[in-house]
Amino acid sequence: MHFFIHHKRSLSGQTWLTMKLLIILMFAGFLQVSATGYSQTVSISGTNIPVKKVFDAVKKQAGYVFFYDADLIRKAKPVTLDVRDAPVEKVLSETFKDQPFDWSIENKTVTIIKKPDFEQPSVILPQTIDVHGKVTDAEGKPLQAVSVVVKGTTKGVSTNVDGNFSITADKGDFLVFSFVGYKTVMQRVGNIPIMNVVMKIDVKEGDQVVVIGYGTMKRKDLTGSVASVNVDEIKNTPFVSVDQALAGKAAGVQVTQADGSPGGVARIRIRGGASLIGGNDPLYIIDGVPVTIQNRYIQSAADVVNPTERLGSDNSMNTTVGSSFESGLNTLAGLNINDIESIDILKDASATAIYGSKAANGVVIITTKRGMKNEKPLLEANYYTGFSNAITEKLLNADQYKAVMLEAAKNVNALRAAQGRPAEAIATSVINDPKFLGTDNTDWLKLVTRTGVTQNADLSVRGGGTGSRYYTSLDYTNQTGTLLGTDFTRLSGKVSLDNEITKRLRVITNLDYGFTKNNITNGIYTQAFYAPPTLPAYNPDGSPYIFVPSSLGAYAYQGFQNPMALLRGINRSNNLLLVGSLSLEYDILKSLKFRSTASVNYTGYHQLNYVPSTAVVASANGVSSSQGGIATQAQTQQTDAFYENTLTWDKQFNADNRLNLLVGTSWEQNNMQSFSASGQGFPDDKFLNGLSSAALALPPKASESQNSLLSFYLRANYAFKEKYLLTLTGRSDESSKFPASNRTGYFPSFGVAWRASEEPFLKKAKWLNNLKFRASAGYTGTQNLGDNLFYTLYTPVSYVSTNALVPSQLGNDQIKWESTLQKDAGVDFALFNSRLRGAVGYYNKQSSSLYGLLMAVPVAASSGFSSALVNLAEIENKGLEIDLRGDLIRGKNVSWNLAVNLSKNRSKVKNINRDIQDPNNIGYSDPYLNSNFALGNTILREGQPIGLIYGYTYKGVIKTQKELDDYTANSSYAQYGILDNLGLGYPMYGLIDTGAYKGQFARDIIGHAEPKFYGGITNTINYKQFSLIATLTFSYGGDLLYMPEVQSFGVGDLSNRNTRILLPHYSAANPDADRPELFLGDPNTYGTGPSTADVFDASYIKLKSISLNYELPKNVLSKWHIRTAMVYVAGSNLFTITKYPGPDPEISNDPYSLINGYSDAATYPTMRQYTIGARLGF
Amino acid sequence: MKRLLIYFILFALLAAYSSCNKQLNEPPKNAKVDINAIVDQQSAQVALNGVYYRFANVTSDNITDWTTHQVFSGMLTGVLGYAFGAFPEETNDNVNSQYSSSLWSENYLIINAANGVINGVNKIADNAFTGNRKKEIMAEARFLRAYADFKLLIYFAEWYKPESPYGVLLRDQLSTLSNIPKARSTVAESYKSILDDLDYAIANGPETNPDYYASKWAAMALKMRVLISRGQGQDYTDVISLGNDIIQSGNYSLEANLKDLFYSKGLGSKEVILGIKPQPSQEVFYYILSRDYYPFASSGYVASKTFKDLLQNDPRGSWMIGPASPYQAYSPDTYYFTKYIPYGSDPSQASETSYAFRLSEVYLLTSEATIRSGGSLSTAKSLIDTVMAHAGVTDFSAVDNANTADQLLLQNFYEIERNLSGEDGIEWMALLRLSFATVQQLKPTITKQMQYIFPIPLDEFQQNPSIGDQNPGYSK
Repeated sequence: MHFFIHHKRSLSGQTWLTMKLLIILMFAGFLQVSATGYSQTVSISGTNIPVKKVFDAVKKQAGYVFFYDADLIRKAKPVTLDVRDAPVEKVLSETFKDQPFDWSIENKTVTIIKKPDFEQPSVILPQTIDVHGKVTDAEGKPLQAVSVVVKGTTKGVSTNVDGNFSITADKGDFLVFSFVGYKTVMQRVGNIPIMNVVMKIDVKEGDQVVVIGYGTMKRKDLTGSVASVNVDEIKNTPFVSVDQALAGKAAGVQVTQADGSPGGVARIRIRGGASLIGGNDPLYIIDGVPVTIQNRYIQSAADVVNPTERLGSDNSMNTTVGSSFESGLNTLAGLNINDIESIDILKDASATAIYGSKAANGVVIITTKRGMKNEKPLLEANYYTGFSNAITEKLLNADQYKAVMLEAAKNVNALRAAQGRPAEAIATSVINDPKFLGTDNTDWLKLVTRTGVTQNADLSVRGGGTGSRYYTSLDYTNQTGTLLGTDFTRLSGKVSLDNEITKRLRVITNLDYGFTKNNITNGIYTQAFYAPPTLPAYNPDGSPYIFVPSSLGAYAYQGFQNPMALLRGINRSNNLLLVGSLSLEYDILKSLKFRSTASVNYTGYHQLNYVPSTAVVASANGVSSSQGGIATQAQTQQTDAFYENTLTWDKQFNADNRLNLLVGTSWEQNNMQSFSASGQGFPDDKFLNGLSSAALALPPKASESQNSLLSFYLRANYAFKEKYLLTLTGRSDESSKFPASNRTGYFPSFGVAWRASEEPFLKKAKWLNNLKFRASAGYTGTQNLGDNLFYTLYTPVSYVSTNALVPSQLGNDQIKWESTLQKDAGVDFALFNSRLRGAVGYYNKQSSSLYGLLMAVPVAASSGFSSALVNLAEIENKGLEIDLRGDLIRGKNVSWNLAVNLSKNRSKVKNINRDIQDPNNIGYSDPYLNSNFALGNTILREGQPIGLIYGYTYKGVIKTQKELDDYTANSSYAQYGILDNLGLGYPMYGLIDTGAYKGQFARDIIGHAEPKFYGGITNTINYKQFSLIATLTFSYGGDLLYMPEVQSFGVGDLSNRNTRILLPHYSAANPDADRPELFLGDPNTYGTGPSTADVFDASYIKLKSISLNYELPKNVLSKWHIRTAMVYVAGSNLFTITKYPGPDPEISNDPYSLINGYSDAATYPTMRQYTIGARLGF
Repeated sequence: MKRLLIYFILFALLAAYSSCNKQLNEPPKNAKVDINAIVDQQSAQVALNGVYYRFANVTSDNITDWTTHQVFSGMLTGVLGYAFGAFPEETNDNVNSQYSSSLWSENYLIINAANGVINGVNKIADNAFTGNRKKEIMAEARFLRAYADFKLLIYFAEWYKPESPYGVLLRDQLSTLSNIPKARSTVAESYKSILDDLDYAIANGPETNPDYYASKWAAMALKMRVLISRGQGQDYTDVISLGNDIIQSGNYSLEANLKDLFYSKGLGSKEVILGIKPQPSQEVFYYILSRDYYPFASSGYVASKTFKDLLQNDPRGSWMIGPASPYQAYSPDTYYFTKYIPYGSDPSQASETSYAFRLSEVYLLTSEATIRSGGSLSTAKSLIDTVMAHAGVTDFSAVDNANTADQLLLQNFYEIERNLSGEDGIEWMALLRLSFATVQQLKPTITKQMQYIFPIPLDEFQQNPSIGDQNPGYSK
């Protein structure tokens, strides 16, 4: 109905508009005819006439144009005139008599300027020239009334309606083009009389255009919280994908690089997590197309034990390859940073609610570059190359290793002798046979790492004519990782073509594509930790020297093996990302625009895994031989198709009332197919390891899924007096993921803002340039959930080799949308001539205040099911964000801008009745069993924040006989007599003190990973042609579980460990040390696992990236016929200040999970990178 | 023109919306869910095989796991034990039972899968099936439901008190979140429901079927277990006639040497009425049941001294009982239980095969019913002797010398224990059918009749408060 009324009104409006246009056209015709009919004389008479009135009369009667500074003329004295048919010159000299102005007439243009304080000596230059040309904006539209002044003189003209001007100037003079809202342009007068000038909009803080959902907006009009990332700050950094580059750039956006894998993924959380079983990554909108972050790894038939993860209690211990893919594959890796025009991060509900059910984790809108109208083709080329080094652990060298083993061997045999037990055989050998441990001196880390080399070349061409514009680019990136066998290759680019078919109809096409290839690590780095430095890497024949856990006195399940044995393995993924769209834009009216877009987001993923015959693989009872190698090939195809229609009505009713209304609808269909095939037993590791050579075919796997979403949305922005702003947004989403009764989710929001600085009483305050208060509230949702959760699902199985189907998942026909209520309040300000700008915001995010987040809840076993997903849990995130930017120096040659952002987020979990690690799994009902067997290193607990590290409590070393007696009396392990080496110097752990499990080791929360605050500092310093951009990131107060520490706490076996084992530990000579005594065969964690001894404060400040750029001066460039040229050097991770003992405190072992990922499993070392590059524009 | 355009757009929008809605409502094309799982004979057959999959208790490791059937009751009866310290079951400490919650959930998995088939098949037209197949599928599904309900009755309900209100929580619908809350039925209702299912299965079940699938004969064998447990009115006579029908049907015959059945023939033996076929290559997996008998994998299940003594002068002692377990320190007087896997050998398909119903049991239940109904002791003796002879026994004096019904009942029980222990809880049910005094004497850790059954798992009361009361003597 609404649409109708509005349309009727606009019909009449259109008629009126047409008439108006006709009148103007006719009038223009008359004007042209009568232009020559202007008289050159003027008649005017009166007393105390304002100067402005005189000008009007001259303008009217003689057709002269006046060009002046209004402020100046306001100061002019009124004049008394009585002239009749007087020449213009006479009238003006009469008027300007006794006035503080100079004036000149040029071609019927009168320019009035302030009288200089002293008379300039008039110098006659030899050559004057008539310069003429056209001034246009970046879009090619002519600019009228641009002032064109010869620098240093009073001589000036202004451009006419077609943007044309004509002025006489001396050769060598500079012409200054200035126009309100545009950047002033200065051009030197040369031999050529034609001077065409393109003026660019002078973007002030408030006029900066921000990309929001389905449109753009000026920053000053925003009621929501939107952070924009300056692409110039990141374009020369060594990051290959955009997610990494976001680190430290925006308040409320926490970025953690998972590890140092080339092209690897970063964990991004905007204002905390909002779902347990769904994803917690923000929604990315790339050129209008939604892209969801996904872990694409397909379980392969074989995986390798990760001995480091083994030290913890997570389920990931047998998934070296799986977790390496998890952090090595990056959904956004196919996008080249150089193609990006803008990055806007929508944070609060007012900004995100337009994306409804997908928006609870925030929205990152990435817009890539487009062509410019009426611009001659601009070719830009960029090349950089660089190298990277691994920041690795410090391991014992052969001598240190032997010394540690000897000490531990001596200790254990001395103790055993004292206890009256026979000596330990391995320990005796270590003591007596100096060659027992091996005679080699192998630096395993050196063997598995290398200097990575990065090369990137990209090329783009853009331009446009009167009706079309284009942008096309091609990028090639190759990065070899710092670990052998790992690399990342990308071929990406885009093609965009916008065509104006008629004045009203535009066709806009865009295609972003990226082919990426990753070679992911097999786990050689982890294995290198444990390989004894006294063993050789290779046999004399060149084959890997094989050792197994038992030869190191370890259990098979610990999975130690020669890293070189893994080297022949293959873990490759090929990814194709296509994000394409075709839009029609039709201007129904000048203010009413219709847009219809069909777009697709296609992903083709291929994965190849090969575990070589030399390697052992994880199996049900520890490890087993790969039986001649195991290969898996897997493929996923995902097509997300979108069809969207929007109507935008942008209407300025009058000076005080402005409305922007957007209504739209969207239909989305997602399809995914996946399969994998595997084989075992290959004749050769290198050549004949294709699936067809396999002796044994392993069962293939396949899956398919699909879902669809129908949405309607609306946004209204209303500005009253440019001071009071209101935004109303709403979206309804209907998804096939929900039962018909609960299918529709409504996501409304509102935002209000008050631009206080526009109030008259504040306008006087010259130091205050902008002050805006804003508040918003609204609902958003998450829908990154499984497809068929509300159906009772049957799973195909087989019995007696015949197909069977069993009910496997209890459908919850009551399942509802997860929703998040977010409230936001903030203030934006600019002070002291906008030298200091900033925003302070507070938010409160309740997920899910309406229905609860989905999590597995136990159901009665008599139902034949154990759990169902039910809307139950809640996560609360509250936080404060501070963003400050200051121009510390604003000189002509030197400028220094400092941008600081600081965020704190406090999360709290509510309504989960049991500690959980896996929200899809309910675990045991017995709290002890649940804590010991179902929970890993990290858990969620009611009333606690997210990021809880879970484990045992290390109580220190037993130092007195009383402590020993007490511990022996209380610990069941001690009573069972299992703790062989119990005595002074032995570690104590916290115990359960009541109930059936009294005396067992107790697990509890041992660390909080949530930082107290985090943020970034970006310095941008420009000095003449140089610019330096340095970004520091920091995090304070979060804990991290340092897994390698568990191994370095004792000498459980003969594997190597890091140098932390050399830290002062208890011995007869050092009875005050707080680390336990070393006994060979005793890990000092017997019956426990990660403990408080392994949890460290991961606060840090690091130089995330730095780039030094030199822009070649214009005069050099013009000689070489180059438009722009820049050379730069850059680096990343150059230094980190931290007390954290591991190589890098910014790491996550599970970047996708909300609950997990707070352990340092040291699977891939962080890299320090240096690059050097050049950019040229022709 | 403009108006026309608007109408056109509105119409297009409406059409698009309705087609979108159709798509949103469509069941998943690529997954089987409750509404599209069972639509014709073939899908019904596949779903029925899913009930057998549950019956075989195939685990996520894709192995059939009948630990609860084989080990649990053996421990309760006192013939089996755990190698690394006694389980609570061995002392009839039912509150701390390790197995009872698995037993509870395993049987409800069967019931839910069976209900899915029964409801689904009911909705399909008769002519969608060939011949009698609709009724046969229904019969097999109802047999499997009755089997699971009877297990629940024996372990979690006062089956020995016909008037007791503490019966089974009966379910006859595929579970949804909303139908989970449900109360338990009385014992009488439970028997009735089980017998209704079995009568249907006997009337409509397949005459012949591979012995890993149910036939009408398996339903008759189960009905014998049910009726002899209830022991009311005509029940013993019915058991005898059911037993005679099975014995005389000619479909089954006792294995000449029991050892061959377990060590080599497996389901190929003519004696097997219903058994569990292991999954292909199951025997190479590490965590399998026969590896827990020998050489012990993650668990170790052993024969007790009671069992060894029982087989002292019996030829079965030489192969069913192996050497003493090496873990005497933890569990003294325990021996390898080698009924399924010969000592010193690797697991095989045969060692991984499980048995639900064998003809020997039919003989022994028939003899027991004969004794209990006051029938001819010599008829009963000849049935017992026949079974023993096929186990290689030559000395029948103990049976032949039993001159009272009570003495012969005890001999009958001993033969059940020797012959059928560690298979499907048969020895435990047989023990409990004896007088309480005898039970106490044979298993001294049973001091109260409430130890015949188990408390319903506590989780059930939390998630389904509607269930009602806990079994008498136990707390919620």
